Amino acid sequence: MDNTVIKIDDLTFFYTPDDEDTVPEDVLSGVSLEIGQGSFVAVLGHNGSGKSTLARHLNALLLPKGGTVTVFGMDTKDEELMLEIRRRVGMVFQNPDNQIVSNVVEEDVAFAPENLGVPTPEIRQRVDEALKTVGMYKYRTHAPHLLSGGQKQRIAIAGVLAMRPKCVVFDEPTAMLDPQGRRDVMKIIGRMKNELGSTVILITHHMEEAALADRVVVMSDGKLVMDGPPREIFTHVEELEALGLTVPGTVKLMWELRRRGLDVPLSTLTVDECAAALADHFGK
Amino acid sequence: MLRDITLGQFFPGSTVVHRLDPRTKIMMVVVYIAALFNAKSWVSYGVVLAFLVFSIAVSRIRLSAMLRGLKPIVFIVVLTSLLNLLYARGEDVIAHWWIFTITRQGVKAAILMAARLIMLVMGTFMLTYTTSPIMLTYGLELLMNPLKKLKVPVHELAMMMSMALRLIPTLIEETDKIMSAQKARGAEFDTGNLIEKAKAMLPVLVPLFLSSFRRADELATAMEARCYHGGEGRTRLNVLKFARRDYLAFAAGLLLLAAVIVLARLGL
Amino acid sequence: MDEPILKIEKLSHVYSPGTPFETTALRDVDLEIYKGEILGIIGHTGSGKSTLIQHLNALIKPTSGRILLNGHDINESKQSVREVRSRVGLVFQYPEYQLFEETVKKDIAFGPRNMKLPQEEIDRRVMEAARFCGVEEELLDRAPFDLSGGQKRRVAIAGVIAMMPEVLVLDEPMAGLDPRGREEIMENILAYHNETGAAIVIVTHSMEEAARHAGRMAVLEHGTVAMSGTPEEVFSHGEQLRQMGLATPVMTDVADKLCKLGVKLAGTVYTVEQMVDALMALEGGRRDAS
Repeated sequence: MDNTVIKIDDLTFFYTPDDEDTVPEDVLSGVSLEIGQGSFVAVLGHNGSGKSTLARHLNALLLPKGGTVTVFGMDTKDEELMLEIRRRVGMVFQNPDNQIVSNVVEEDVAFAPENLGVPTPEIRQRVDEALKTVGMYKYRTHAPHLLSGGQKQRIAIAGVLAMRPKCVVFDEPTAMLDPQGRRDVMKIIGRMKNELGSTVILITHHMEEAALADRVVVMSDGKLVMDGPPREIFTHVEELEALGLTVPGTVKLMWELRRRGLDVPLSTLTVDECAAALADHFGK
Repeated sequence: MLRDITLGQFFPGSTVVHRLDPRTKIMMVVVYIAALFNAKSWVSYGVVLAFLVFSIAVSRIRLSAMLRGLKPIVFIVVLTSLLNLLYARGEDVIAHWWIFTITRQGVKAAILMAARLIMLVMGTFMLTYTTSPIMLTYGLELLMNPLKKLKVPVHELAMMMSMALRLIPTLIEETDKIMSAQKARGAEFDTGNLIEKAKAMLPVLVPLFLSSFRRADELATAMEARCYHGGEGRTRLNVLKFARRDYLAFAAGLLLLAAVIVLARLGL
Repeated sequence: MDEPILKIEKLSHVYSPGTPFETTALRDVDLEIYKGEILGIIGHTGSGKSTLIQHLNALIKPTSGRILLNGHDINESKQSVREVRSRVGLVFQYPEYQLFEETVKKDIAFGPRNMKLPQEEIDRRVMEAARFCGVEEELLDRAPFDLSGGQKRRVAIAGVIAMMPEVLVLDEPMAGLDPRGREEIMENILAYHNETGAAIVIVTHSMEEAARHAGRMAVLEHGTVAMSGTPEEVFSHGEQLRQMGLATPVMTDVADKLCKLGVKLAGTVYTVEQMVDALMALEGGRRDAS
């Protein structure tokens, strides 16, 4: 790929143990992955599979113990480039409460541009723009701790967008949200990809969210075990279940029907697709 | 209960008081406190009170919010005024009972002491209620800037303070939640003697302590991910600049102090 | 049906009454919880769910109305409050953050110890609760903070189950877990339900989970019970649920779409199993016809 923006090559990582006698356990072992500009990649895997550890390598929060991570042509081990890397690769975390730094929404969104030394008039412009993108502009002078979880998460996203990153890594951004909050966050992700042309990497436990990606990467025990478009990945119903994962309900339905001898397509990722395929079969 | 603690709370608004430079407000609080401690008579207290009431009115902070903030100090106020009431010396005895003597001077001292404490707390609330913690710490940072020459880590101190203020509402909420969860497991916090009560807090304090660490750790990671790297080269969304209103407000503060000192000289 | 074990009568709750922050969280809620049933409570953030469940064991006192446990007002006396705390077990969201003891065993024993039970009974209950929650024996002497996220969650739930409540109320017990973790927690809850006959109340955002296990559901909206009944009844109002901002089960969505496309299914469908059955029945009919 010549539009590669992230290149992970044989990445190995372990947390250095507290005492010297214990042998460290690899959290990531031999992970290689290339991600192209503007793509939307979902990362699936059970708890402790190494997804978050992998994510934290993409903006130099963690540095490889073996192998290399290159983002936008920059080696993450190069300390000189750290700020530039973090500016280009934004990150949204799971718990919205623990990533908001200010008691006023707009001051929070301004945090990253302030750190980057962006001139004051431009910070204002970026903050307003980011808040409008996530639909929270009218809350700009509110106190974040009085907002709902979904709203807080949108503020956190705005705080990342204000850096004008080329790529945003979402680490289970919807895990603590209700269905409405989840939908709002997914809508923003869609807008970022389509309107801003951002590269999006989404770590999630929700298969329905992963189904919206262009590409799904599955991790297990620190290794990359599957990689492909969702339509292809979700046909491996049994393998995914063996890895402690599931498939979207619509796929599961088709799989059960096929097992019973019905001739229906397997990888219907959305409700519309699924209903259309069934209507097609039963309408005849 | 715990929600009543309004420390670090900020009520956003757009009144003149809100828009004043935080440095002005910090300095005004200092001047105000100086005036309050120089006030000795009913008249000078009245002047300081008028100043306070005027500021509250202009800031449109609800009186109920002000009063709620006073709750935690009620005990201290009552105690100190009682001590003043009973131990102040004076000749005009109003009442005498057992070893206690209440004098006119005692009553005055008690009332003024209570007034002083309440006005002190309310005055500082005016600062925290109308200034966002970030602006407050920014103001402090700028005021303390000369200390940088003495190798005082001014930015770091200011950032630590602003993070602490940011986490207070979250931790209060968390404490409420953990207390409820342990009550649901049959814990009782309001029975037994002092030692038993202290022991009963353990199931709240341990999780609270751990969660504070976890939150602080996650917050630090999130800050790093948003390019935080200390105070060097930082710019600001809201740059502080003294405006006409700041000079006027500060002049008003100084006038208050001068008035109180003059009144004291006049023996009032 | 039997007499309800918990009866909520005209319950209203107002936060900070008489202040500018006054908010009505619950308004005239009537709800019954029957012996041995599984009740799913659904509603989006701010619908009053968590205020409601904290009334069930007297953590919050009603502004008006009452809650009856086997016919007795739970807020009647200090004694009745103490009693309801153990008879109605409440598992909060992310309960693993309330663990505090040095060992898993001690933490699970916290509830029974507060009930002032004899030591043998406490030990018995700890073992029993650990078994229900799939907490292996070798974990009992470990520090709870050394465990994985899923394990911690199960230990925390065991801490409530150890009080052997007749009603077990859980607020989003599966939030934040991966699919396998979710399944395990659900199995633990069902094991307790099946073996002891305790009533289960699950508060959830996930329609799928509510649909799969609940015998009855109550939908909360703006502090009132907007709908209640069997999952069939509730999910037959798909459009109304969507208007409340709630997600209907995916299978209900598929069924509604199919209906619009001219394929009618018998009955209300809300799980994959039901959908498979309904479609296979349709397929059978089709084959017979040709």
